[in-house]
Amino acid sequence: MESKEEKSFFLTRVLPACLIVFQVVLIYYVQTRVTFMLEDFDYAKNMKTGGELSSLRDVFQSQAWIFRNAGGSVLAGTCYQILLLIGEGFSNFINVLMMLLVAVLICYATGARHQRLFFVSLSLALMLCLNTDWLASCFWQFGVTNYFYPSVFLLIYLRFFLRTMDEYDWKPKTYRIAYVCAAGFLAGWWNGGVGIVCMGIFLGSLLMHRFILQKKLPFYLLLAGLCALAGFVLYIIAPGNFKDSSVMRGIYLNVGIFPAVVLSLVMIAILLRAGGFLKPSQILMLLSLGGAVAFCFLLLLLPGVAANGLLLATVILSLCLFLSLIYRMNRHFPGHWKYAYVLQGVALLYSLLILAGQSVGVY
Amino acid sequence: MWESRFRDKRPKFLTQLPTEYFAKVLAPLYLLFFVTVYCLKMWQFGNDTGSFQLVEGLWGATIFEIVTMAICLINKCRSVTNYFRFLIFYLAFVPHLSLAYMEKLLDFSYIFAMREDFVNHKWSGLIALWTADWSHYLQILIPVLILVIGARQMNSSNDREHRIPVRYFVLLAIVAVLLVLMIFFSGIINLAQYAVAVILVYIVSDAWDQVRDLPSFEPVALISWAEILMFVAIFCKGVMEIFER
Repeated sequence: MESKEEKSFFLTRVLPACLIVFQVVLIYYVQTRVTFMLEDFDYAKNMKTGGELSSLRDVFQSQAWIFRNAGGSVLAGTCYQILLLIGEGFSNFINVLMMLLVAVLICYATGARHQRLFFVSLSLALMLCLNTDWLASCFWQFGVTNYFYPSVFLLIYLRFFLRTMDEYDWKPKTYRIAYVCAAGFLAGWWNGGVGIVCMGIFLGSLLMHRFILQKKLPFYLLLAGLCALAGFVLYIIAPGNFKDSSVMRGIYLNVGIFPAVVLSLVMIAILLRAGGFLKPSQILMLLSLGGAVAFCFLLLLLPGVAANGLLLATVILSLCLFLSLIYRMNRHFPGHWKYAYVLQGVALLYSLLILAGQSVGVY
Repeated sequence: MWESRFRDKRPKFLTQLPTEYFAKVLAPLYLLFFVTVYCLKMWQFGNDTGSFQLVEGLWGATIFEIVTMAICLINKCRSVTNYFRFLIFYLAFVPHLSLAYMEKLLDFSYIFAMREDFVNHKWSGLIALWTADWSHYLQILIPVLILVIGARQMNSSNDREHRIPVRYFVLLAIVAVLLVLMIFFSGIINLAQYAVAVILVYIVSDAWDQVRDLPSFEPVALISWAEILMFVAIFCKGVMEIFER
């Protein structure tokens, strides 16, 4: 009996914790290998005067210029330039911390109450595995700040909506409503693509309350949705968005959302086939994912216009759905856990291959 | 309580399969997709040799048809829908070989790197062009395989019939041998990768057919919708692959 408990402790605590530490160290090592490049050098100047970036005054002057000439990503730009100002060592540290934070938030968004360490470890590996443009969105400073950082706010916002769906009698406290509204606002303003996904989550929630749950949308969800909309409007109305030099007129991420989306849908089909059913929060994620994929295609049809970050946000949404389904499956069928561990092994192997390839200069 | 309330209020189309809609709209669309993909395959086979050639395209489509039908027959294919399901997996997960390259595969001196051209790296560019990305397996095909085999074992007891079939282990051993061979004989890398992908897709397709026999509690219509959604996504992935290559 004791040995069984020890084995369980090893599998649920020790092994996942070791995997997390290993991945964090590996990611930090790769971060140190990927130095500042491309736009990092352009933004390391005062955009207005063209001089070297040396103080916060330069940052604010640059952002005013970006707002007028390059688009609404003022918030992302400010954070980006502050990190460039501070230097590579510190920004590497912050980037790794953000990756870990996103993995933890994905774990919370899945609603997992057990095996949380395992889910953090798995989401950390899948974030690299299922993101076909991992280098630009997870390691390149411009990409990390513009596309990856807003995922933190997106996940806080998403978790709130999901919890409202699943917990019928849940009454959120005021401080929680306040920080979710702030997260929605920041997500919408930080990146247009993430803003679109926030709108999708809000609309999906509205539809579910109206047609499926047949009850009124709680005021706090409406408030959070409106805050995200306000942030998104602030992003869109920037005069710079309507000029040729706009950051919206360039595609930085490719269309490789399929692995993540396909795996999520395979899991849905398997769960239903195996006798499970979808929770309201999973249906909301599915609706939002469908909307995000549709938008990805829509933007492909408009040449030269891309809401950067939409693809990464779609992958993050897919990961939440996928892991939520894995958790539910494993709760229903405990024997299925071993396959989740095998999956973790494959994901880790793939992460190792691409990260090792990056560190020796293959990619 | 919340979940049962929710389950009672599901829209009708999720609990009743609109057969008429399927017969009149979805089935023709489904077939149209396949016709489109065959055309794309033909275009691709022709395009591999430099420009579009109808004869090459027809040969390519014929070989494609023979290979897929043969695998389905080995798999004791029970219906046309089984074949369609297999085709969707095949198109999405198997890297495509050109007819020109398949002709070269018949030349064993080329395959086993005995040709002078190969030693002088004349063919290395061609090989690089047709080598499927390793990441393709690790990123999606193997995870799908793990998930589907896991699902197949979901309700299994220790009965002999519910164990993972021996043929899966044999096929996976062949995959392992092919992977080792790929390391030592770089000349066979394309053929070996093609074979690995076909074997894995065969297992996925076979296991999925058995997952369909699991006892489920949700209405069949809802499950069918979920499967359709899944196959549409896999199909879109396959079509995107063809466009990208």
